[in-house]
Amino acid sequence: MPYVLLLVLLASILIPLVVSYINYQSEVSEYPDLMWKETLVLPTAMEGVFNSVPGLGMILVAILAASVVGNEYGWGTLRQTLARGTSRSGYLTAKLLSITIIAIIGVIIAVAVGLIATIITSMLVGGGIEWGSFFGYFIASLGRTLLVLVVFITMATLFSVLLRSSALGIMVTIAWFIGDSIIVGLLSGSTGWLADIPQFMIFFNTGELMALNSLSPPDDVTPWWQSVGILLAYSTVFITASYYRFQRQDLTA
Amino acid sequence: MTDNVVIKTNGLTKRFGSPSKGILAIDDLNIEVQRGNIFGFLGPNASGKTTTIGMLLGLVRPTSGSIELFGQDTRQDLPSLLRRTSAVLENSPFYPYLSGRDNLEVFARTMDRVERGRIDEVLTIVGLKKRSKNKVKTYSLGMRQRLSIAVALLSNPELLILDEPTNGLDPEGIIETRELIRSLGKEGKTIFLSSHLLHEVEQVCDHVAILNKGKVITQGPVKELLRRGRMLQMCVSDADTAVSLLMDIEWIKTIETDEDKVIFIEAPEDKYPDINELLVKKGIRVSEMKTSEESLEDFFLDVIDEEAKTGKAKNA
Repeated sequence: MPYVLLLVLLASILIPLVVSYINYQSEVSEYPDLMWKETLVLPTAMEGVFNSVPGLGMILVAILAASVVGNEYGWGTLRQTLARGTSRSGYLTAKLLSITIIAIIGVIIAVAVGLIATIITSMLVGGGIEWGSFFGYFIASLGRTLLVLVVFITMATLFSVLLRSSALGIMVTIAWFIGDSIIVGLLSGSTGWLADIPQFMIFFNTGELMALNSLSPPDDVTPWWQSVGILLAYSTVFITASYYRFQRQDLTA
Repeated sequence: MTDNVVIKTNGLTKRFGSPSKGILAIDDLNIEVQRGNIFGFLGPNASGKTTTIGMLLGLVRPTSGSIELFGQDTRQDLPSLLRRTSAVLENSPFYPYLSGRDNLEVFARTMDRVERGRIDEVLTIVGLKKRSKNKVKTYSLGMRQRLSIAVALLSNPELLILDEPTNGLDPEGIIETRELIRSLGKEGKTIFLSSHLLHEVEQVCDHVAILNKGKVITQGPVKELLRRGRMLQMCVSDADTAVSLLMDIEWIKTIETDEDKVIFIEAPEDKYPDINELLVKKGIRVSEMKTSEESLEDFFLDVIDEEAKTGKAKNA
């Protein structure tokens, strides 16, 4: 399954690049200074990669986490393993670590493929690559992307533990994601204390962090440490709740 | 002494749900399983057998009471106690996308001291070596059950807990499993066996406990429990007086009463009418008198039936 999810992620990065390049090729003779040449040339082309990876990646890691944790309930293999003397905390820690490692590897592969693809498109389109402070931008964007994904890994893990099911874990995580985005959208135009609520919500803070993945982020973006703090707080709550519930759960046949 | 007791439960109780409205699955369970015994745990469906096994293995948290494995409270260091234990669980849980062999390798990694070659050995014991490289999702129920037994044998444990180990097996498989259990018992392993197949339990178990609606209604050595079935059973108006009258009669070998004041008499069958006559002459009314050559199945049904009647009388 991780391979399938990775393929989906890679497709979400490469297909837009290919489409952009094809469109560029058909239009460049008539419009030599196309703005969306920027989507094909480094370093601006990497913005697209760092938007695609977390955007779709949130859903994909939720599917990964919910499946890795939730399927064990359905198959009964959780009981089989714990009955052999594996501690519950050790088991859940191993699961979380393995999901996180797989997610990190997947993101690094996706971003690396995106980088290679954009190097190729840059060369094909022509013009020099302005490396400048690209390395610092690359590392910072990668870090922000991984943090955003960790929130959804921990959320999906919690719901899979609570609901003892991978399908329900995925569904509730996606429902939270959608619900969060709807509430943020509704409250964004509010005034008074209502307008303050979105800044404590996951969707808002992931959006603010992803905005910093742009090479020219908006001036009014939330300070990165605030978004990081809130997302880490959510992750901490999700992990703590997961361990608490898992330790006390009756694992009946 | 504690070294000889491999499983001990003290007032073990489990209630699912709220304290007031929840389901009382196990009620004040007190059992002891001696080292080297093959202990049968019997009961009708929903009597609490699997819940009890779940509590023994740390999969279900008791509401109250305690469990000792190998003389140690399981609340102290359950993981290390479970490493001396192995279990065949209900529904044969495996990773369906892995082969039988791969499943064994995965579970072997969670155990201590699984020797090289042990996987091949246990696959041979359960007769799955030829199909070991096929994915478990292609296995029949019987094959999955055999694989469960293979997993249980991997670590060569001191205590084996078997929850319906013959479920899904054909008659040949049932006989093989019975022989395997016997041979493991002879090796000195302690076996806790939960089963519906009373005939099988009668053939392999030393001790049994019979569970109904979460309570142990009787337990003891199999031979002793069945011996009751070959005795004269009487229900009388005054059990204590009846026992004192019959105690000194020389041709009565044994006489005992249970908690419900039913009298069990071991005596020659041709003397049964004399017993009846004696009691009636002394003004003791005899409401029931029967004798039977009972199998464990007959005994089990009698006990469950009696318990149901007692329960109805209490509720009336």
